[in-house]
Amino acid sequence: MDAPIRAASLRFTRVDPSRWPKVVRTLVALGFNAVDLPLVWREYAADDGSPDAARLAHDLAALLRIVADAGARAVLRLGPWPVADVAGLGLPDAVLLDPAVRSHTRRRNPRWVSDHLRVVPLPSLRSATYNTAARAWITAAVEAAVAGAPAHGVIARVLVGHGAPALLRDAPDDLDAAGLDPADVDATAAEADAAMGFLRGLAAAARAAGAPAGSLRLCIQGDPLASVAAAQLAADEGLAWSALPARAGVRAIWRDARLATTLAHGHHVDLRAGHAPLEAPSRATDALDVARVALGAGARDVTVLHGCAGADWVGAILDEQGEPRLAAARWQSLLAWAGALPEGVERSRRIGRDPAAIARARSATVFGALPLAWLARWGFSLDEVSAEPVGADALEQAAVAGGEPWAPAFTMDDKTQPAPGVSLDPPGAAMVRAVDTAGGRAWVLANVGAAAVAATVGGAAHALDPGAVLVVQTEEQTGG
Amino acid sequence: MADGETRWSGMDTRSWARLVSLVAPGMAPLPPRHHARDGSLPGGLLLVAHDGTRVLRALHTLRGVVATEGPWAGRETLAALAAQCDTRFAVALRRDAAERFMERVGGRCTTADDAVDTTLLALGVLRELIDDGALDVLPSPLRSVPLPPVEVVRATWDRVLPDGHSAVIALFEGPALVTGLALRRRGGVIDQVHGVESLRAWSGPLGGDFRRDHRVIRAAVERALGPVAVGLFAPEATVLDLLRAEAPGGWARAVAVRDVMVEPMPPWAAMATGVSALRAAADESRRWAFSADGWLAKTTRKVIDLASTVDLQAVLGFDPLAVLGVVLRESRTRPTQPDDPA
Repeated sequence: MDAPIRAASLRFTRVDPSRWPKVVRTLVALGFNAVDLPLVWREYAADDGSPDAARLAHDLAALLRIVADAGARAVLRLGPWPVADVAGLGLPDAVLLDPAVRSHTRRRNPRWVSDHLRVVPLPSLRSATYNTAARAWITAAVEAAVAGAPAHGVIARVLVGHGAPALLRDAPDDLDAAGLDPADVDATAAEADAAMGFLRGLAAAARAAGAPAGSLRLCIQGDPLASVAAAQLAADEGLAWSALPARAGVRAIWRDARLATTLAHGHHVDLRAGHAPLEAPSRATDALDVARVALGAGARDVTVLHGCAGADWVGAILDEQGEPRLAAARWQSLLAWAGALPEGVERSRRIGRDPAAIARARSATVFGALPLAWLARWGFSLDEVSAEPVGADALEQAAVAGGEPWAPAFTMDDKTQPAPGVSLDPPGAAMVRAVDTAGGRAWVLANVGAAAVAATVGGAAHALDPGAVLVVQTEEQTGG
Repeated sequence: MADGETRWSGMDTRSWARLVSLVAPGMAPLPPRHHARDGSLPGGLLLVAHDGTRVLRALHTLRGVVATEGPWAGRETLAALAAQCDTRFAVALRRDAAERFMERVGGRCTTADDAVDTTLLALGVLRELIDDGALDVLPSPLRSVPLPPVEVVRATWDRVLPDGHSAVIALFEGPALVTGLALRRRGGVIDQVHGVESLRAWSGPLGGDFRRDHRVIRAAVERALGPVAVGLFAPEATVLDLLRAEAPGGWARAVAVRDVMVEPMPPWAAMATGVSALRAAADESRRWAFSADGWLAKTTRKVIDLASTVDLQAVLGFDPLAVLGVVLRESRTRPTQPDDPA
């Protein structure tokens, strides 16, 4: 099994290149084993929007050399809309303002999204013009990276797709082109088709350009548990998504991150250190709590946005001069704690849903089709906003029907059955995860309530403070 | 206004959270464990979906799903559900509200719109949705506050922060500068916004008394950003109290007795702080204020002398400090900010 990816991102175009080596070395010294490099198309575009291959090659070669020299690996985040804190969605104006690229409402009005305090037209994933341009960008970026990589294995991950959490929709698309009501089941399916076509097109371009085998992750906007595209893509691709913010609560953050343990083709979860200036404020303590819960739930490959952001970000781990802020030491401690988390065979209920059930539930969202992703940022699940909850997990049913030897009965995902060998007081007040390791079974528990929980694991009593994540190793392997 | 080209710099999470939660205590960050959906926390935001006759779902940001059915009788239902959830802030969305919002904004926005255009357009659409019954908000500032025309906002903005000038806020806790902001307007937009890290770096070591340190900070900002048009220097707790104060005249008194330093004080700022003094003067305390104590008379006379300058209340149609005070008094108390390494 590969080592987990613990990356911190470096918004390198906002940092003086002379500071790049120091920043990378500092991040590695804090315990990160990878550096996430968001490449913003807008910053590498010629006047006609085409990628500036020479500048790409120059910067990537320099960065990958620095990363390799520091003993780290690189996570390339290519977009075309790679992160939220970019102007113009990260797209060159020649692409962003092209009428052939725009997404539309049912009445053929352009669909706008916020871009700091302005709004800009949202590109349609169904637009052939946009798909062609985006694939050209991915191709140019991957080719430059592969050519500039100083050694095999330096490029650990390549993330493609829109990485910014969606504010109004999960998979923004031009529903009008299909003449569909956004509350229609077919509209959800059509939207998913467009998202999958877009992402698979980007992935194909990246592979053709030489992206290392197994490195690709496709970015899902919004809640991956409420995305038909995510459910279908997970069958043959790795996924990437953003962890929920602190205001979603421990239960929702845990539940979201649990998905990571069940994806056969890999995952990548974005955590946050700080926030964009116009977002709701978040403290370092809260960001660390979110990270602790997500890592405890099983996320192995993570990026902390941002390790060093230069300007235009509040509270990166390193300041604009590349010096560690006060919270840096706490991230260092968290990474050390995460390094001791159990690794092995996950023993718990599988996360996953029937795409058709998701489509039905999405079409029945009582707030209308648009604000689902926005509500997900508050921690509301699809089940909570739909008149037709997804209900029992289809994959779980299939596993049980297929005679899978492990019969999960954990207190997970709102299920209240006590796990064997684990008792909670009050019942259901903690999320529980079990991992069969070489040394026996390990349990990870996260208190999801506002009061302390008394947990008994393998006969031993433990107290779990609100928000705390507890790891317990039992001596004997008890099943699986 | 700020736009995509604005450079934000020198901000740590702790000081930024303190600054934002000063005027928006509901946005004060809380750790994940506080969002336990267990119904124990007051406050939060209630979202109600309805179809015009029935409640379809009521979601509370701290408590999760609180209702899945029931009759919808308009604003009374929303108020009742908000009371059940112990919150004063609630939004009711008819099922088609979000789609209508996107259609109307989509049909009116252009790529040439700046932040002022976009903000006023979005607020205008929200008001239309309220008038149509597709949206309801508690409390309802959009109903009581008039929307000024774009030209008026631009002209006011030119007077409040002239091009090439900067503004600074520096708030203290004891001797320490704990939060602040400095910004500069250039080329018609806010081109730089700096947080407390920048203020500390520019100012160097401070003496610990904001009444003296304000000169050092102002000079540092002028060196870094250009001439300062207005600066506010005060203890954070004093500003917090003044923002929530119900009795008029608080700002004028605080400025007069140097509990708050406004330096330099442009005419509009004198007017804005004096507005509450004038309200006080109209109250029963008029005689006391003008003769016995003297501070109010002095401030009010200064305000009257400056009456030819821009009057934010006249331009906006409301006293922004008074409106903010009303909202803050209805908000939850700002959570205590624990010692949080930024």
